[in-house]
Amino acid sequence: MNELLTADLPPDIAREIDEACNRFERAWRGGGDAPRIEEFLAGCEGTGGIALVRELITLDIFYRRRIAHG
Amino acid sequence: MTSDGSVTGWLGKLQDGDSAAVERLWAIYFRRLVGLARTQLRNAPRRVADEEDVALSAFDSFCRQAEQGRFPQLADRDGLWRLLVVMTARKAAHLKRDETRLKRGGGASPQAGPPDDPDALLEQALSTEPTPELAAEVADECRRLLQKLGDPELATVALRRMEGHSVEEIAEQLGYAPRSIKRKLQLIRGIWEGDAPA
Repeated sequence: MNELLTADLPPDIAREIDEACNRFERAWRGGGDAPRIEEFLAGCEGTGGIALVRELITLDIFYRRRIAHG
Repeated sequence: MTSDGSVTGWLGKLQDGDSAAVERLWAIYFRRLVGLARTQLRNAPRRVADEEDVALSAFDSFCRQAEQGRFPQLADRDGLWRLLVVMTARKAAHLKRDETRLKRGGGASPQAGPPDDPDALLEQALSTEPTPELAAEVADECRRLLQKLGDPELATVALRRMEGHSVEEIAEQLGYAPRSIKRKLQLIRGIWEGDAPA
């Protein structure tokens, strides 16, 4: 999960992915229940969709680990 | 850049005569250099093609000298960009001077200025005390590139990175995971590499 799949995407798609990830992070930082990845995938398909899923999973792991380690 | 972002890797390929290295550097830097040359030539009488000629000449000089292994101290992409900025600024200054001479009725010198001395160029580019002219040029170019991002938050990430903050520091300051800062930096590079000023 170290390589950024967004590297080879057109900037407009990479920007959409970035904005979706921003919303996902805000949801994590807003407290409450853990956000559900599938709710942040709307409109992203194909290579962009794969890259977005990978980014969201990576962020999900990051925040779950952070909570686990206090 | 190479996968590890190493300019030295690209310089090595240039020295080996790798045309793909030249094409990649061209794709990344040429349009930005044309934009810089346009800024430099803003108040000079010129032909439309001049700004591209200046950028092409600077790029060609860089490639020829790099092929000869004349930039051994050049170690990263920031240094490379500053070197290209200096070379483009010098070419533009030479062109302005020559065209001013022509306008006054004098002849243009057969060669646009003295031959570029790689050591002097590199010293100027890597100096911690840039000339006021170079500082103004770099500031202009920075402003244009930040506007190109079209997003204040991306501009903030780019600025903090240019100021020397680490990915982890920027993530902490802006409330993101480090991964997200890496992704944003990647996005910024993508936008800038596709930069084609109007």
